[in-house]
Amino acid sequence: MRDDGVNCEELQRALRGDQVLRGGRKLTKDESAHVDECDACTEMLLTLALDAKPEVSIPADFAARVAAMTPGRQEKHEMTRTPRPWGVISGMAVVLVVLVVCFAGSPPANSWVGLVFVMLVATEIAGLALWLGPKWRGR
Amino acid sequence: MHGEAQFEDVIREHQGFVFRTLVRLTGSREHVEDLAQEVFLRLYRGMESFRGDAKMTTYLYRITLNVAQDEWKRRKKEQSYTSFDDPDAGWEDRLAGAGGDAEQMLSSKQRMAGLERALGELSEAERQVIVMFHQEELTYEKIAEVLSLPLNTVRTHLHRGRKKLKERLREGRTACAMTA
Repeated sequence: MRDDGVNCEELQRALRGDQVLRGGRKLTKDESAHVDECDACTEMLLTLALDAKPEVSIPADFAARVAAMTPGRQEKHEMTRTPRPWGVISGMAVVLVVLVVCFAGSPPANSWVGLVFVMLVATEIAGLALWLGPKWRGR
Repeated sequence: MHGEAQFEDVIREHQGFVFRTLVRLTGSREHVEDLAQEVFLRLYRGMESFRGDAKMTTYLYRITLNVAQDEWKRRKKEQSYTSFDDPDAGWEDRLAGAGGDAEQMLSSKQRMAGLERALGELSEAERQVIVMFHQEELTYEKIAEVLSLPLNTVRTHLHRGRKKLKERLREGRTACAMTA
């Protein structure tokens, strides 16, 4: 206790009990003056004030609203909205043409036509691989 | 990440911290919801690179501090353009000790308001360290990690910040007593 008549222990007990910070009771003028002079009581008051968490009001739907705004959802929409099947369609068309030419007529032996067919098939497979490769990786 | 539902859980888990810290660091509840939203959207954009919850929370703390810092700077800039003649500026409330009777000055609300004002006068680093240590009860190590500072620097900021707060609170009280 200091010579101002205020008991530090009692005051600190009141401070710790949250009575003062929560507005349950006001400090008297003597107590307030004491807090300004007494280092231990100032420390205690400061610590309690800083430890106190400010009351905040968070809207109940805040988390749902923000989660719905995430870009992931928009990207998914974009992916399904803009499918690009042109590579697959044209690839299938080429395969069909090759099959028809190969099996509808006489088999191309060692002629330039046979060579062209083989080149066509090879080019088509390579084209498909290049076209579809990045797409499959992205899924 | 991470489904929308999972991200919603993350938001629910950390929204208290984000709101409280933004309120304390910006010194205002104005626009706090918009700022919190900005924090979580930034978190979402950076989430792909996380492998553990610990790293994610560190990143979240950093984003929150950055958003609060940007808002603080923006408000300071705005305040510097506000005229003393502006009737909406509320200068009477901001100036320590203006108006109010002596009894009121002793109330806990006044003390808390004084503390908030004093917090606003600290350096950015001191304010951040104090809020994370006291309000959010983070360890020195965690604060050092979040702020990318050496442990001793964190301790120094905390010590200096508390010392300044004590001094400013006492100065404020003296000013109150003189004007009352």
